[in-house]
Amino acid sequence: MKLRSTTKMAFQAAIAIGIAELVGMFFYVERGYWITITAMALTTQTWGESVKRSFERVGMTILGGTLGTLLYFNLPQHEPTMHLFFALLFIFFTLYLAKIYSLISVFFLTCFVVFLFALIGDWTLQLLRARIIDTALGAIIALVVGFCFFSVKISISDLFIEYLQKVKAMMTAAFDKTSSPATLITGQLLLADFQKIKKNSLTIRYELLFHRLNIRDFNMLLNRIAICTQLEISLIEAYHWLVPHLTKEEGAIIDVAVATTGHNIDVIIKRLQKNKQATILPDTQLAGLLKKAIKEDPSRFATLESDALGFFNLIYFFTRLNACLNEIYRLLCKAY
Amino acid sequence: MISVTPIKRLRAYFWTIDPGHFYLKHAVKTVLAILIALVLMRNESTLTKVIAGIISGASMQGLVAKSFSSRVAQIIIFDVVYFAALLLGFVIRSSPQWTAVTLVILGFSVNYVRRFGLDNSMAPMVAWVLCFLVTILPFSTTTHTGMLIYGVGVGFLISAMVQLFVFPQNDARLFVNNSNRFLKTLAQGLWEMRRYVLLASEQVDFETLPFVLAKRTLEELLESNQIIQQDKIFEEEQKQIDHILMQQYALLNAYSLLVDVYCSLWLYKHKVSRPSVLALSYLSSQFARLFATTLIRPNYVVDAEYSPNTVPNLAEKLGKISFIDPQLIMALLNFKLGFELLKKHEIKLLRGVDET
Repeated sequence: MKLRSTTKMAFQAAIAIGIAELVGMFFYVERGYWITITAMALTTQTWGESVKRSFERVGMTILGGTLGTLLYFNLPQHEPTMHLFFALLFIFFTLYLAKIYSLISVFFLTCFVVFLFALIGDWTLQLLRARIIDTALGAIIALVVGFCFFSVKISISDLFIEYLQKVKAMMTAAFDKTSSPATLITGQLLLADFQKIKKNSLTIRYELLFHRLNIRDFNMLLNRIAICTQLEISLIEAYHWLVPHLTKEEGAIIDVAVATTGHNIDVIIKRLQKNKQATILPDTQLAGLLKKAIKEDPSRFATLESDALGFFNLIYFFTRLNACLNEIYRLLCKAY
Repeated sequence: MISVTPIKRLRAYFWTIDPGHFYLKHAVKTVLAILIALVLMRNESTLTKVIAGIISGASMQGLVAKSFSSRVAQIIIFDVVYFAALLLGFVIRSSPQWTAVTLVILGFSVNYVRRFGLDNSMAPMVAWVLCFLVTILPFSTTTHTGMLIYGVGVGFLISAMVQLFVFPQNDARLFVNNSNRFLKTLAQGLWEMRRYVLLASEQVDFETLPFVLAKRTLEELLESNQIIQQDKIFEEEQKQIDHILMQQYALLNAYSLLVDVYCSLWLYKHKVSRPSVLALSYLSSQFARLFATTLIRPNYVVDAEYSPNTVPNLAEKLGKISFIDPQLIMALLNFKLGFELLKKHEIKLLRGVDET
């Protein structure tokens, strides 16, 4: 039975809390409840996200706790109004930055905890030490549980395969002469899909710590795919604008370019599926094509009219798109 | 040329990182709820004040509903759940074993319920944290229960009022504001493009140029609008929203194409002829003026002071070109395409979804 990611996360949270409570009970850890709350807070939907949050939480607990403690010790001790002011200030920045700069948000949260304890009772260096140790313990528990039990890891290959399949499907649909153009809608969806991958890329980078594709190559891959996405959307839009100006011969060349691009996307998908048999086709030499055309008929290029030159716009996009696909293929050959 | 003061730059920066100031308003509302709770509880014990403050702040988190009636329903449901979690905490706090078992079961449950549309909501975590907090706070259950329940009740009430009536969420207004900011940013980007065409300086890193950075702002604004559109909260206006968003994506693509062409010229350090520079500059300024004066009204009707048809195309402005460098010819072709796509989609935006 395949479990949903939320169910897996629920099991992980339960196991992590259980382990944290046992550790707190059996090892008589001072303020052991911090282990529990940290283990719960750091249980997330994917292991990569857990790693990211754990680093953030532990790092910022040390930094925020230390600076918050220094600030507290430098303020007049029996001034609850001032402690309240700082507590509210830190809560404000914690919430404001939570989605924008989560790392800094955790820093302010830790500072807030210092002043919350100051308001309820007192804050000491022993408490700071206990907080740092217990947070680290909670993070370790969350990471171990996330890795060992119902681990949800992002399959980077599957992520890119799915995305490239959409890219190819969009291109096929757009250049299919029998279908009606709905390209703007699909272009928008493709861009939205890519934005999701980009947003999760920081989490994915943490998962790459033990992956054959290193972080630098992953960033380059992401960058190239962004360029491919943009080029494809521009190509399809330009095609619908320029297609009335294409001659029959130019249309046939475009069909070949479409087939070449589709083949190259398939080769990359197969490479991601560890099928190394197919080979990628190189990008066509536009400069050569254009130079030849200029040499044969220079007057054609004297004015920038679409019915003379729209074809070169399209070939330019195909050339760049295939050059990008070739770069992606070379990157993947290193890793897969 | 549009000039930007430091204050405007700062405002634009904050808008860029938080379009619609969602997070800013949320943070302000939370702090306000806590402050109101503390003021109302000023004559009570420290513990009651702390509980009221924590409850009012914590129950501000997690609301995901959009319309007013669904927000009321969600607030009531969440507050009932939070209250139940608090009661549970009160009951088990004296037994470490029962505390551990309960926190484990509750931890499972609150994560399991995320499958019911609460993936990105803080509410499940807040319920667990409230139960957990009650088990660790230093108070005597027998002597303080009445005061604590009073503090809890006040906290819930204040947070409900603040959530419903302070900075009420208005996605329709945000969509329109985002869209107008999109057009202004597009105009600003085209003005900056014009400035760099004329200056043609090679000393600066291309990626730091203002019109390149503007692309990121445009993407973020579109992302914010995409989220609003996907929520499907608009009934009659959904078609207009879909149409406007589609044209915005298309305008962004056309703008990206222009930026891309500038980049290739920058990288290859091509010397563009003076007539071409003037033609590009003229067209950039014309389009900048067009977008700067285009306005999306609250009823989603789009107006502009100028008609896009008054902007000539690049071929008309350039006349006959004499150079035969393939790279330069390709660059001009792509500039022409970019400008034509900008015009095409501006016309569609002005015509509206019914093409009137």
